[in-house]
Amino acid sequence: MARKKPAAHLARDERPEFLALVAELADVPAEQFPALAKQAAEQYHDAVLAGHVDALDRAEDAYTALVYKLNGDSLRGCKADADSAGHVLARAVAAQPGQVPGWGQAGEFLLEVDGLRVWVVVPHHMLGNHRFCDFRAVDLDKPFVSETGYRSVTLTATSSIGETVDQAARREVLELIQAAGKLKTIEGEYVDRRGADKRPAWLVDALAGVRADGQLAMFGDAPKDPNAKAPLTNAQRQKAFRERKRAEKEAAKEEGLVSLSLGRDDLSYMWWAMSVFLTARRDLEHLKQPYVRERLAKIFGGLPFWTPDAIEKLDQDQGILNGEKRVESERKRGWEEYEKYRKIAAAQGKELAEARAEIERLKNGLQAIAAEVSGTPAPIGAAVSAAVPKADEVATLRRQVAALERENALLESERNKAHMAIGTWEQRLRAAGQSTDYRALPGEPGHVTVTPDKD
Amino acid sequence: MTTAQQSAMQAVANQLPTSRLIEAVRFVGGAVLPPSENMARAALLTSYQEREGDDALDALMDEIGL
Repeated sequence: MARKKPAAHLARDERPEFLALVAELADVPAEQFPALAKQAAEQYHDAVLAGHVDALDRAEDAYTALVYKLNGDSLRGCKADADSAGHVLARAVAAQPGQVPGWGQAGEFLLEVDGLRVWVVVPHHMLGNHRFCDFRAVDLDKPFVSETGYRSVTLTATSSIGETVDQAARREVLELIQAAGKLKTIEGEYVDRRGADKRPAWLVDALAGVRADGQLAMFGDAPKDPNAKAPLTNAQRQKAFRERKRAEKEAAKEEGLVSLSLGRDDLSYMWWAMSVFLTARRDLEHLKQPYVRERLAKIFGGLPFWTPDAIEKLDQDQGILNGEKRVESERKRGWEEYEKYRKIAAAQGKELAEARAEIERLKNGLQAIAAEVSGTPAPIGAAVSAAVPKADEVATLRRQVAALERENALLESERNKAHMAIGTWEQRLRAAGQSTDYRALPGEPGHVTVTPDKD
Repeated sequence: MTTAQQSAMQAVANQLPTSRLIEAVRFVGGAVLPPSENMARAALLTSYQEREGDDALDALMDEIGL
């Protein structure tokens, strides 16, 4: 009797069901691969919890097909470097650091088992059945499951049916403790090597609010800020104060400054003296004013406009004030004209839009009538010609254009008139020896006296 | 005050000897003044600046507290 030929082992990428999954991805863009990989990882996790082995295999195949396709139809070198397909999808699927990963995910989290705090690192193995996890000690000054503060264990998905990753990890820790009989003190060499400064940021944050015994940290229990200012003793503080004062005194001496110590009464007296000085000075200036005018009259008194009445009215020149008023009124009138025609143009634009909407409505109505009569919709061109005669529409638009041109010509002539009027006034002012400068001149309201800048 | 009046005042100030310019500016002082006195002081200071330069003007203005 001939023996039955044993079934040959087929590699994953030779199995027809796997190749069929790959073929399904032929038209899927690469941007969708991370989302599909996440979906496969979630299915894998659910399958482990539900104990559904077939679903487990299907999810694993689906995920591996994505890696296979993204890697150029091969699994060879799919984790060659950080940008390879295997790593790209693993990163897309990975859990947030600090959160317990699902069975299909890589991740790191903090586990506490009977007061023993463990930093668990779960790498990604393309959803394989075996997970080589790292158990790392968090409290290096306390006993751990190994004297090195580190232990590698294997979590098997099919042996953890119905368990989450943290439950499986907890079981492993308990089994290790039970097997060893008691926890071991971490050796000094490994304490140094795995110092607290080598913890990742998420772990530092996670430990900030919890004490080693698992209790929530209260005020004063939180880890000390390494950059916080160290408290000084009274002697150190006094010494620092003396040194600072000495340095200030020497700096002042170099600059030629004299330091004065003023008490509250001294400062009050000083403020009072300054106030009296300033008041007296202001009063004196006021008293001095007639003499100043008299003195300046000796210098400038020869000028025709330097008479007592005229210099009082230097800032009230009626000609300039009138000129300013005229400029202002012209500006205002120009603005009003502009606003008026802008509003007219806006209203006409609105009317035009309404007319267009009406034409459109009539066209649609005509089409509906044509469809009802003949059973087929009338052509658009025919509808337009029937609804609004083309010649009429053109004539209407021409009338509107002509009206707008007339308004524009009127506006232009108004502006030219204003320019001519300003030109005439300027000529008159020049003939009268007056300034044509429209800005406020010295002595006029609104004028800012410009004296040479000291700086 | 028109530009012509201002020019006329400047011309008068330019005719004064420097010592008299300084004396007049010191007497007028750095207080806030009515427009006519203010423009007269500006004319005097401009003349002084043209003759003695910016640094001298700064010193004089510091002296009167302007």
